[in-house]
Amino acid sequence: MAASGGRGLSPARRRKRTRLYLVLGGLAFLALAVGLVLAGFRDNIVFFFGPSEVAAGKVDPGRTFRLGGLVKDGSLARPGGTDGAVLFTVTDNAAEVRVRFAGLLPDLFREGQGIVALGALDGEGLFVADEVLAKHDENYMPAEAVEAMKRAGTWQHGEGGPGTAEPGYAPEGQ
Amino acid sequence: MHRFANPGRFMRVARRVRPWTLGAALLLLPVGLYQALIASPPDYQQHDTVRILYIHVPAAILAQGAYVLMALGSAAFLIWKHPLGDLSARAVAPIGAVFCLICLVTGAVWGKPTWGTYWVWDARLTSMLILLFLFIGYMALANAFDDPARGDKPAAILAIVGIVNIPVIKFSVYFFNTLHQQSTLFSAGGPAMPPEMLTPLALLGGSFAAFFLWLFAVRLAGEFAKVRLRAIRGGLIRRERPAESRPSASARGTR
Amino acid sequence: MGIGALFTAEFWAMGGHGFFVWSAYGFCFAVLAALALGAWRMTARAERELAALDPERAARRRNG
Repeated sequence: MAASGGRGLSPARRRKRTRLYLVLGGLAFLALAVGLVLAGFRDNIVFFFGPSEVAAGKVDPGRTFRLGGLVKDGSLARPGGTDGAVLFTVTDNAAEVRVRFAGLLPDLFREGQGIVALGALDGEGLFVADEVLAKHDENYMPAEAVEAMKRAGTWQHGEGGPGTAEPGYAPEGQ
Repeated sequence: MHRFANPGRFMRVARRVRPWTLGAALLLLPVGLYQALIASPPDYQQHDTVRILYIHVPAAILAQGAYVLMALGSAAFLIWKHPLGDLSARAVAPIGAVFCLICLVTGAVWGKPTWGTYWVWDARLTSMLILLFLFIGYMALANAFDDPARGDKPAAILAIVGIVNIPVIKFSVYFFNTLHQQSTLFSAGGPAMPPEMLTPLALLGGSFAAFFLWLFAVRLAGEFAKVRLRAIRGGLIRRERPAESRPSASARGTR
Repeated sequence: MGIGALFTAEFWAMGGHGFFVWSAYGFCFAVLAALALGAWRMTARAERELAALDPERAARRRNG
């Protein structure tokens, strides 16, 4: 099969070559089309908006959307209303949005943690959430190792340690 | 490489590796399970639910690997009319579908305790669901006709077109905002995971990969036998002179 | 921690997340077993039918 060179191809081999180019060309075309569509719809495919996008006025008050970011350290408050709502601030280290939520928080929820909340802005810029999901990063660590680091004072969650490298929260179009 | 292009010889090799792949899978499984469920430490955030990772990640990788194999086989069939291409694609499709389903289901029960939800329509989860639909679509199309050979071509085209979903899955967590985190294994500074967690992942991953190869070799033999059966029943091969390779669709036309 | 962990309640509780961990593992291995059984049966059946149609070849394969 490999004996005959590139020139003087038999009709069968020429057909094979044509089909190869057809498939490769079709795939390249398809990939380009899909890439363009995804790039074009990037804003619509995003699962959440970051605080910077909210600050830039990308979402109108009353419209339901998802807000993603880190729970700001020291921002969690429990005013103790009848519905047991909590208040906290979501930040992407560039902008902030205050969030109010009455409901069950996920296990991973705490200050410094990434979250994605579903809700809408009220008239005063407060985000009223109906659902809060925890987003974690790609780093895994044994619990005991973290305990040991905490005892030794070398653990830095929220400031450069694992859990802060959250590129997913970088403002859109950086 | 060329000697494997002969279907008869390839099938003999596939038959010979079967006991080895099954043996490796069954040998690695208990060690991997021990490491995954008992010996490895709980995660600092997720505690014991992190143990789902050790089956979720291999299933995700193998599902995508199966799709690449299916698309390559389909391309070999469409372009070079290589009968093994079509057979491999048909053999691997249900395996890929099942690994994809495992990835989705284990991901869902992992998502509930960690994220707070079984399912969200973010780019990663949605593109993975599309992968499952592509496997199912391929199988439906390949078996849609009374004469299965008629389904070869449309199914192969679907498999090749669907390959664009593979980079979408890979880069969805980088290109879009997703609830799903970015890649742990293929992150910039090496795997973002300590060795005591990589060990169970490697062991169970190895076991799953060996099991995948065994399944593939077994299913390939079945698809090969089915094609020969159809050929004999269709009177294409006279029983006293069995040909070594499967007559392709084009050979039927010229005969 | 050794294999004795299997006999402790904490192991099966998985820190309160036993339902999620065990349903993930249970589903995974149940489906894989079904896949293996299906693959084995499909191949065995096709090869059996083939052998019935083509006994000489089947004999040669067994010997070779």
